[in-house]
Amino acid sequence: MSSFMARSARHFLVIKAARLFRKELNKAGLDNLKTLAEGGISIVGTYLEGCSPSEKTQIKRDLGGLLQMGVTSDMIFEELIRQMPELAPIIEGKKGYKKTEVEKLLSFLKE
Amino acid sequence: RENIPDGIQAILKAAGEAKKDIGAKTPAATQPQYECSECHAQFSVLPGEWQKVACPSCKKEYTREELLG
Repeated sequence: MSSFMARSARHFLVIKAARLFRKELNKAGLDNLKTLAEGGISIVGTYLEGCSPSEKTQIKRDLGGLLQMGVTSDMIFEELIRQMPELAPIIEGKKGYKKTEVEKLLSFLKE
Repeated sequence: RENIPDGIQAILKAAGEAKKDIGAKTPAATQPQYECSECHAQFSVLPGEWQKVACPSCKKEYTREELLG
């Protein structure tokens, strides 16, 4: 039962996290994201480097909490692509791009 | 006016710079060329999703539909 509840809670958190990312990405505009991805520029890295110290602290706290609950970056990316299918060719179009994005996120959390 | 977070502003700025680089690297010959109906000057437009462009010579404005249509 607790395992079912834990899985349900994780699933809910993944959907919620992806929804928040989707809202942010829509502000950036798909065309701009595509330009960065095609240029080999990290979207995650650019976003995180541009954040204010307080925003970075908030992101670390929120994402750290998700990781502790067993939510992985891959799960969030997959849900994000499910909610935004138009993002798939951008993230998965360039070989290794998605992997480097995940690594950027993880290295940020370890800082 | 919607408050754009710092991280998103960084993305917008980086994308703008990347588009400038693409425009600088793309030879003029490969950029689509258009002729102004007013002064007949030839001009090119950077690739991408633009809605309006002005003739660099006489500044007459054209919408995307007018030039591509």
